[in-house]
Amino acid sequence: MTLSIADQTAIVGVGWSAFSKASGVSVLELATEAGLAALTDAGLSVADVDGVISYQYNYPDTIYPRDLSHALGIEGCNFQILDTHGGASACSMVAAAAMAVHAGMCNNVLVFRAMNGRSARRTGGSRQPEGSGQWLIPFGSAHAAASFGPYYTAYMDRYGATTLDLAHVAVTQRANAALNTKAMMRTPITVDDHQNSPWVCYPFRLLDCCLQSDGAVALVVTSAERARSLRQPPVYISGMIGGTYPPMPVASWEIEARRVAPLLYERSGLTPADVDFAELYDPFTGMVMLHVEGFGLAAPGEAPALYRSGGATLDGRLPVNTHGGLLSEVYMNGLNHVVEAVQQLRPGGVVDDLCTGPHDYDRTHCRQLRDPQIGLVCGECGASSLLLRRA
Amino acid sequence: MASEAVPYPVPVPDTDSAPFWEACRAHRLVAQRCADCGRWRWPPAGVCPGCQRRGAGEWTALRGTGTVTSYVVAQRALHPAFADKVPYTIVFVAPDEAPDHVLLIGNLLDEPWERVRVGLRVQVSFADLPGGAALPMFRAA
Repeated sequence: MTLSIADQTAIVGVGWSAFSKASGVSVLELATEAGLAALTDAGLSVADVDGVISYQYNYPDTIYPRDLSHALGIEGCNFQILDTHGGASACSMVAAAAMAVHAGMCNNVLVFRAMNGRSARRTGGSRQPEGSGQWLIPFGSAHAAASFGPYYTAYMDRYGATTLDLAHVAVTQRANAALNTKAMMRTPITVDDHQNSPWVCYPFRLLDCCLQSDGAVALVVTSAERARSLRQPPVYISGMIGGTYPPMPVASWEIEARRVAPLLYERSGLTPADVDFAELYDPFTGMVMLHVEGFGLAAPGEAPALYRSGGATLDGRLPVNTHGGLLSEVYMNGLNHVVEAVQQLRPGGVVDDLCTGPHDYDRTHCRQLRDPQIGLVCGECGASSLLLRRA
Repeated sequence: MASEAVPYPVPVPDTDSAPFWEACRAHRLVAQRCADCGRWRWPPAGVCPGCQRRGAGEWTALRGTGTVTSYVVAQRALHPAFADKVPYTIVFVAPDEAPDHVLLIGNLLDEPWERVRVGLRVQVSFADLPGGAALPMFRAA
């Protein structure tokens, strides 16, 4: 059974603000900048936008869709969402935009994520011992590393993996960020740097942790038919699936990707073998490996070997997080992963590496992959994911 | 210069969880069990996820023995109230009576963190807080 929406919508514009530790401007300003950049990229105007979607994580660190609509002068917004599942929302909000378009409610939907997540409301969990926090905070579990860490601790026990294996994820993603002019962390690191970085919360050291960032990213979703007459070659949305996870961890320490991945592939007519590269949610290094395996891109227990052998690098069999991800590019809650996949799937390729002419795949300056056709993007724990296809 | 003490983050019970925390005050570990289908429920809620029967079910005593399914070790204070406790271990414990449906979280007391491992057998040990609340903690069994 294939989704009726498969390949019927496309991402036609991407945009971003500068990424920093202190933007010095409002979140509204950041969102405006990224939104306009995405529209310009698409060759659309503000008047073409009739849907606005964003998300946050639990607490308000961003602006409402109505704020951006009003600021930009969007006069006819037929559909808006502000979702609150953080990284899990990254791909489901793109899916929601696609569904609004496919249903005929909207023509062009602007999806954005904007925050001053470093200089203002710093990204992180709640510290209130109430609600779900009553089970965590009284035990000093007041940090995302304590929430995601046990998944990797359990993984190490199951497969004999180590915290040294994590180093290769951090090093690989930093090398990619070095070729990304908009990335916040571009100085290459070594395995030793990782091993010598201070512990935050075992099994994670400092270099296993994602960034906190100020900035915004945005993209535009429209119908496949409209997409073909716009400025950029479309990137089609071939597959999509959402998901959820329990409010409390469960003893199996399995992530949602295990359940949804077969549905994602089956309903898009694709298989893991069709995936040329992946942009996988990476709040911590260890989660990347769980996502690789959860989406069937490596056999159970084999993700560390994939990384050690260089298989996840730009010229490997499965390039992963080609922009540097949340670890080294920017913490834009996973929407930056969708933006990167779109860039990689355009015939012209990424516009923000160090190439001065056509992409030549020289990894001293070129971040572009060699002719990728299908990219997988996933949000937190695989609770939302997309398969994107080159035109 | 003495730093100002950060208040300990005492759990704030809600309607569903109040019986659990009340039992902890008396150093009793309890979890809900459906009066109809017998399924264990966690975290506390007003409906059985196994058979959808409404109601709190039966608050049932657990022996307090279980197995560590995973853990993390805070190597710096993740909350300011824990500054004098670093490093501290947070364990996830599957109780023997309900390993599939209940997963308790607590600190592992009096055990060097390097010796913690998945599969460690533990026993609950309550820690009293000022004001009468008590937290279920764990010690190696």
